[in-house]
Amino acid sequence: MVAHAQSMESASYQIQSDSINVGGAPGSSTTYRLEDTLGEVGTGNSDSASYQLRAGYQQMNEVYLALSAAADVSMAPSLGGIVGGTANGQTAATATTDSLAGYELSIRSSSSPALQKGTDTIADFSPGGTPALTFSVSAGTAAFGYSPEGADIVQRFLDNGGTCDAVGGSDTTDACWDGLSTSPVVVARRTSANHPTGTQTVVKFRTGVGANANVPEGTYTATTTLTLVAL
Amino acid sequence: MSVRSILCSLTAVLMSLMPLCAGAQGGSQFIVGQSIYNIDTTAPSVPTGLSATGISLSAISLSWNPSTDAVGVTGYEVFREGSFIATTSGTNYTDTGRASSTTYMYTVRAFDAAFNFSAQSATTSGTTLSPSPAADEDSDEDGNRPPSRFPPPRITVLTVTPGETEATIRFTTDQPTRATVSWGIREPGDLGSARLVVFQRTHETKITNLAPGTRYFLTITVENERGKTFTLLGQTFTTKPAPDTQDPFMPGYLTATAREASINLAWSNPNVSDFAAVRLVRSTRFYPRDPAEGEVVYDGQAEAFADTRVDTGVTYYYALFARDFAGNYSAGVIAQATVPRPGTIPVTPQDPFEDMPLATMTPPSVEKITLRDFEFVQHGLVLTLTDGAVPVEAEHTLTVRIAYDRVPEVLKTIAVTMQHPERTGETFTFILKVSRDKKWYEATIAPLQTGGRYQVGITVLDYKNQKYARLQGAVVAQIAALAGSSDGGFISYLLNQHWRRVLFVLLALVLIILLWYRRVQHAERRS
Repeated sequence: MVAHAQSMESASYQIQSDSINVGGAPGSSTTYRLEDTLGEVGTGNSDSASYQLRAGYQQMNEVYLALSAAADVSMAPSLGGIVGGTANGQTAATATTDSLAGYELSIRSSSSPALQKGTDTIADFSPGGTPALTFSVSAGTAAFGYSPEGADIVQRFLDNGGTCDAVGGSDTTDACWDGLSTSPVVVARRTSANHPTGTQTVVKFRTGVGANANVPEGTYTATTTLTLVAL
Repeated sequence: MSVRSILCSLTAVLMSLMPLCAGAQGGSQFIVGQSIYNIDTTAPSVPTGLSATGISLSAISLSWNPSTDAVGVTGYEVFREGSFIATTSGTNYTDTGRASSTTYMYTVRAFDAAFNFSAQSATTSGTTLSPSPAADEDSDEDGNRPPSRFPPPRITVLTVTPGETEATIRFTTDQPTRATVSWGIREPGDLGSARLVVFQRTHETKITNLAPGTRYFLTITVENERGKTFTLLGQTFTTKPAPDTQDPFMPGYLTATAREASINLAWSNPNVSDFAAVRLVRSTRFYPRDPAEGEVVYDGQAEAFADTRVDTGVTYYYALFARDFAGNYSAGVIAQATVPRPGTIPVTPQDPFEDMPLATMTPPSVEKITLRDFEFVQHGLVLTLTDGAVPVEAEHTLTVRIAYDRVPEVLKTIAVTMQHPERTGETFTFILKVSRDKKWYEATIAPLQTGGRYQVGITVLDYKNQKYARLQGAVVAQIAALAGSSDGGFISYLLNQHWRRVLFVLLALVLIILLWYRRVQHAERRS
């Protein structure tokens, strides 16, 4: 039974569905809390290969969307700021949704350039419009870039062996490098549900210091965010 | 109201493994860390598994496990009886030319491209093969030598772990023994000995009251329960040197010359044995006071560098620091330059602080500062300021300092500018650094070499780079061998160049000849 129900919102939260509970009863244990409502008849989920039905009172609008925590990355090895070199690292996150329309996973940095130590910075890798098939820096420069890998990687990071952003391309290991930006860049997209298994996306990072770059010593950090959106 | 409905929406701002609502989003934030180093100061790991096997009457084959290093292992040094015998890039070596039937003790140590050395490995002994059996107490009547039932003891492994003032001696024997360990500086035993009276295979003793960085001789005699003895001779070890906390003295005469698209910097490195490198840092705001401040543009042993990463119209403030092998840095020598805009002429100010504004408020303690508050120190002695000038010896380092508590805590910079006595326009400016014990602002200058009167200007700046005070004085440098006259440095100044010395000697000879000639004439007249 629903009486005088309405949606409510403020600056910090939104109640998407609401009801007045007149016939139900709260129940709880040490591991869960249940608050049911009266009048839920003939409800339940029905799935087939081509559709998913969420039938029942207050079943509307809700999808399962989860992103596992990505671990911090410690680039290895330490690089000589004067002699130069290349360091690598990677992290991974698994996106899971039961949204029939799938999800989008994007990446962004908190600063520009991403990798910083006080006022000292290492430039973001900047290949131009599309990611570069290989990661390289000139002798006098240093750069920091990333390359996503996984089953749901978007076309921008797929290659045909010669270039990235290739239609029908492949997700070649250690290919298609780009620089982080403070604006989100979509790295993975899926147009169907993948609940409950989920899909893992690995983000590889690489720092290149040229032989004449003369990068000041210290520990540089890049605060990076993966954002998952249900479609 | 459904609790799940509220949670569903609130999770839009939460992260990780939370079921969310349609249109909401979740995120995972993480940190990527990248470490950059500019000097390889990490020594390789100590080689392990050293084995020594006699392979002939005169050769012993050595092998060991490879060391690891942050950058890479360049090679290994091999030591026999504590003395260096060879360098090799591999992990094996054959020591030839040895005496037969003789036991030798070996160690190895690894080094990398920056000549960082690992500690020495554990000592291992190897014995060359014997030429033929010889009669001894275990031989039969015909002199044949069956395997002895009671062989003399042998030291199989010896490890010496030296500290700064102590050393731990560990050794094992092939049978239970008691032992005497003797050590000394001129010969084993002249400083002391220790008796290890319990019969056992593994022995350990600690020698104390040793001097840092000193080589000691060591002898170990072991005796088994049947009274048979073995003496290991010719062993040496060296205690670790005391930590070097002495700052090196500064590089000399840093100049910065602006060109069309670069700033050319030149300097002279300090001529001392523990000089490792110089570090050149720059800033567009002010002179870096510390090698970790500003941007590193050069680190190495050259005496010039062209900074090409410059923009026109921007003033670059440089500071150059000398570094010793222990990682100590000198105070900084400074210079500045501006790449001129097209059509303008580059101007390099003689006084690097002439553009700095005067402070509006000067603390009373700073107002009272005079040249007498600064100490000029040579050979540990504070030199006396006379008539606004300090007499110093040109061949020795000179430390300039002022007591830390003589100036306010918030003080930022005390800079000293010295003007060359002969090459007018050539100045040398450096910033005093705070000493480790926080008693002084100080800097040590390389020997001035050239005698004469150096005009000295001392500038005291506040944390806003405004000038508190500007003091003037002089340093009169004398060549020590000729100093001591009461000429106020004038004669020694005349004599400080080689050709001037030659001229002086020639004049003295002419004078002697004239005196001799007059004396001869006088004698002839009398006769």
